[in-house]
Amino acid sequence: MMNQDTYKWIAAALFCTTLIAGGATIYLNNQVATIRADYQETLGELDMLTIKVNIKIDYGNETVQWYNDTRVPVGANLLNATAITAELDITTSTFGAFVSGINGVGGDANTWWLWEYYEEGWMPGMVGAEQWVLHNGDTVAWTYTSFS
Amino acid sequence: MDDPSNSLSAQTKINPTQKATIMAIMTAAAVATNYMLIGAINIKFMDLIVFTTGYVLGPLPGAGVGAMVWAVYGTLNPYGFSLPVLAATMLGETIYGYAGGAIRNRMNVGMTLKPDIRLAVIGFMLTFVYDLFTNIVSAITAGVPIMIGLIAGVPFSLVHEVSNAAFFAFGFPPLVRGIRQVLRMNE
Repeated sequence: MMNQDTYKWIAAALFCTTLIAGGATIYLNNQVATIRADYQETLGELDMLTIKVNIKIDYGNETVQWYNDTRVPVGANLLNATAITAELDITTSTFGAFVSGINGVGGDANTWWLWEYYEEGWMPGMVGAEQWVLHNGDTVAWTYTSFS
Repeated sequence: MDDPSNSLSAQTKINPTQKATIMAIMTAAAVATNYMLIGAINIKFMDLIVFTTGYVLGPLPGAGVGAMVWAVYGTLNPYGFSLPVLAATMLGETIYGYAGGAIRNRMNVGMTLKPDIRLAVIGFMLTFVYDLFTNIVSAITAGVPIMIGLIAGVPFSLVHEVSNAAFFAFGFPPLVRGIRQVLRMNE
């Protein structure tokens, strides 16, 4: 049977552990708040340096991948932006860069990667991807299209 | 509560010369171990030594040793000198000496070498009060809000408090026992 003194010492020891836990909690909570504030501030700064675009990749076999809210540098063109989200096979000629494969898909006869942009419906890209400068909120698509 | 007749003071009569010698030795030991552990932030034997001095010699000599240790260590400190912080640490350190003196007739410690959980609790509580006081003074001196100073000091305080709890529990009984034996040899 424990006497009253023993209980008092046990209570005091538990109080010490409470102080440890309380101190650690306050400190860690403060750290989280600091990190969260830093993160928000960094995001704000990032917003000034980057834009967000949505990129769709349609492999033509009912497989479609969306890369929404992809951050790309201000002034990035479609080719740069796509290269951020996917592995590209590019053929360069005097006419500019030509995308011959995305994520290993490409090279089939009479089948090409074509791009479109969304503006009240999908509109075909009329220039090379590296000449299409993206703006914040743009939605673009690559579609593997067969002409056979 | 323990039998006061078992306490060190009741068992051993300490004359003024012995008292002065013990104070000098304890001060020197605390200062030396402080410099020895200079790289280990907030892990020091000083508080245990000051507390033990208070237990052996009484509250005032204990507090005096605490103030003397900081007078040296706080003045010649590689981390810098600050008069308000020095005053706070000197004053704060005296609580270990006072507390050691306050419990000398209430707790019988040092009869065995076994660690004592009660001392861990006392060491932790005293260190908590000391850290609270010195962190507030440091925050005011540095010109930062007190709450920010206290929160920023939490990791250092925890290291200080937990290490002191361990040092008090494990170190105090053999230290008191050793001093007791030395004094008995000189009787």
